Amino acid sequence: MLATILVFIGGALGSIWRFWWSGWVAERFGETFPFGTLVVNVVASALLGLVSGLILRLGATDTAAALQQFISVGVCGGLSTFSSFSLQTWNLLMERRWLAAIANIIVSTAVCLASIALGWQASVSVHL
Amino acid sequence: MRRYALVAIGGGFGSLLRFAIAQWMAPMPVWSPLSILLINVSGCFLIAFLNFVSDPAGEIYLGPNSRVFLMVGVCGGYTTFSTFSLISFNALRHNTVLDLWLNIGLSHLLCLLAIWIGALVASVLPRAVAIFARWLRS
Repeated sequence: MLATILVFIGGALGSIWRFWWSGWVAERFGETFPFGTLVVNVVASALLGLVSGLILRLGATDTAAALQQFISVGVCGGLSTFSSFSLQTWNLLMERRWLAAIANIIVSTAVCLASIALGWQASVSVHL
Repeated sequence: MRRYALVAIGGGFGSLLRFAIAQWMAPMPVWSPLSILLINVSGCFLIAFLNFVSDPAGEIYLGPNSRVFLMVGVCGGYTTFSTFSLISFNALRHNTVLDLWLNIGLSHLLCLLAIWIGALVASVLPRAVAIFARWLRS
């Protein structure tokens, strides 16, 4: 029951965060390239890397399980999105903007992976 | 303000559905990234379908509030890029390079394919339903 509540609230908060930021970024930098989705995916990945590193160090504790459910599954999962990302890549392909479509895939994959590593590295310096 | 509430509730339910599927599949003796792959692929199918049937430039079957609730909320909360990236990172960390490339390649390829199929199904479905309804009445 607690897990259900933590995932629901985390997912709701992450989704609001995504709606708010992606709209804001799209407004400032235009919608010719899906920067809004890229930004939320990168931030969610960095946060997930950090929290995953902490969870590994905490071991099988209640705190670790709650962090996993609330932050990893809820907030990070709600904040990041694969469906909007793929839909936007598809739209770029339909507009025959091949380079932008391929760049969206490669940059999103590479930068999010690097963000996980960065967050993971940062978790080492957190005192538990 | 109402939009934010719709996104929050949709995102909460989408996240719960992802959690439930991942938990359900966790003990299964399958390739471990499979659950997130299936979640992302099915979410992509759904968002493309919804995008087509609520497109303001096309025939609208769903209004703007439903569009935000279902596409931004449910689909956005259901699918995840961060866990996809974590799976890639763990594959790198454990030196299972095949898993890394399979996860990245299959995710992008199958999700784009799901987008295409979702839009395709949405484009033929209203006509198919109309034909079926006419056949029922005859």
